[in-house]
Amino acid sequence: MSDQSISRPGIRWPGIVWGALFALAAGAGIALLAVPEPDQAVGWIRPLLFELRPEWFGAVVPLTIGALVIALGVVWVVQRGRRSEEAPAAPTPGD
Amino acid sequence: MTDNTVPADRVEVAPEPPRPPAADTEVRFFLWLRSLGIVRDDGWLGGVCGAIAQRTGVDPLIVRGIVVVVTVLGFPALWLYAIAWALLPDRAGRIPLQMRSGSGPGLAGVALTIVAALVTTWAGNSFIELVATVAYPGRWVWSFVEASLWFAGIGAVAAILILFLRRRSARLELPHTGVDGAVSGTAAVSGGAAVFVGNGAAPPSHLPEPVEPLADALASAEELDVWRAQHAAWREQHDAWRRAQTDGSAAAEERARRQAEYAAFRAEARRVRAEARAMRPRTSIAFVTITIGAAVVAATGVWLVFQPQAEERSVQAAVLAAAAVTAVAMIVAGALRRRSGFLAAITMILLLIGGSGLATYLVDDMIGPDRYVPMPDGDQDLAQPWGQLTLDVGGPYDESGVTRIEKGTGTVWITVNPGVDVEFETTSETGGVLVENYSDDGQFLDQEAVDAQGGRFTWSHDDPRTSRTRTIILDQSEVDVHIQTWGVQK
Repeated sequence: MSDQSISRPGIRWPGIVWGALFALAAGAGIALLAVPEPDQAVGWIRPLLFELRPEWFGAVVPLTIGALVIALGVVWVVQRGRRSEEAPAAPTPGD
Repeated sequence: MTDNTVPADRVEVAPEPPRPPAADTEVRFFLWLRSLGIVRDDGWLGGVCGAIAQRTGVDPLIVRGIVVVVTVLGFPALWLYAIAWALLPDRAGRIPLQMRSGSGPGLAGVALTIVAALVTTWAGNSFIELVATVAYPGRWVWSFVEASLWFAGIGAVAAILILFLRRRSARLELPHTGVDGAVSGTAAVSGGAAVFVGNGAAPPSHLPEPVEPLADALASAEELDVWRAQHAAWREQHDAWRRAQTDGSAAAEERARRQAEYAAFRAEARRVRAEARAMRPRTSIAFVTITIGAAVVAATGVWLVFQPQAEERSVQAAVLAAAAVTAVAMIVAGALRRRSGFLAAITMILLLIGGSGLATYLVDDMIGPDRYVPMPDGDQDLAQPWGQLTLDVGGPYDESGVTRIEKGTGTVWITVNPGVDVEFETTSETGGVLVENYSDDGQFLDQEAVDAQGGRFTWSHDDPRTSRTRTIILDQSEVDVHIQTWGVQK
């Protein structure tokens, strides 16, 4: 990598990913509102809501922890990939 | 030659000097405020957010965003802003509350902020809650959103506080901590002389005090006279020097030194910020402005498109369209190697408003958990996915009618007041229905468990004094009903 590319700020991938997620959410919302009968389109949600039990809300905690661990792992993998890309290739024994 | 002439002279050497000008005395409180090193600068309004940002090292836009969000959520941030504006020094060291020259614009700003704070406090509701109430009927989704936003707001404030405390230990050397380490702040700023006299120490001067000849037998009368003349001359000079110092030259010097220190501090802070910006540049104000303009245009366009066919959901769609524009702007900013924290904050707020509006639209006929519902004059349909439901039957205004309840989980409490007949039935025979009877004067009489018959629970109550009847039909797979009847005559 050249000096210029090191000193220059990199592409902000987190911003791009979050922006894409937000755009997706907003687009889905508009699409849902645009269909003729939005409440019919998501008619399956209503019986699901009435099936909900208060004790299920506790599942939010392990779900959040699991999602966080996954995110941490992904960040770790990306950073490791970036480091190995930047580091000069190590000479392999036997060459 | 006596011993007591000389001490008399020496006592007069350090008379009570004139008080230094008021402008250079400062109460300890203001000194302490200055010592915090929070300086209002680079502001859009009073520079308070900029001051916090500079002090904590957080991007000013993020601080502003957080303040705007918590204000919108109903946090009394405007009051805190007004207080901070009144108390924090600006770059020239002016604290508005001290009401010295140049404080006028600052004080006016503080007054305007207080007016704004009064208005928002008087309005009572947070802005978003107001929007949710006006724009979207039925707000049970909002209660969850609001709670999570409050937690987020409190978390953000806590994070800033922690950051502030951590940086405090490693902060830059700041002005206004005293001329030298040992002297207290008051002594440092008030010019020294008064304090030195008060402490009984020798007054400072640019000339050494003439040495007194040994007053005993060694000194002749002439020698003593010469010494007295010398001493008188020295005192005159010394007094003149001290007057000059207290008359302002020293104070002006002190002010200049303070301002120079401020300038150096500001320059250093600016350099650190510029460095951070060069490494991780944020989106320019021009970019954000264009984005906001595009979002407004897109929102208006979508609102217009929705008007002919689906007017009732046009506002939600418009808000989501604005969110889509700011989200796309985030992607563009990321590709241009710019941070997009402010855009992300705007996008999240818009998504929350639009999303809760959409959800509320979809579940418009449902009510939230733990609701108290009086009976209407006529029929009524209730749907509650979970939580407690309390029905008040036989109030002063309700008339005969049928109440149908669709319910997921949770207990139903039914209070039956005197003067109403009730017919109650369920669609399921799972669970239990318990009835408690109370007399007219509130005495507990008895209780009974209703038995299920023919695949459902039924219970009726007849009050001979009335003809109005409320029929309640509960559609719930597993019921848990508690009925309290008041004014039962046994």
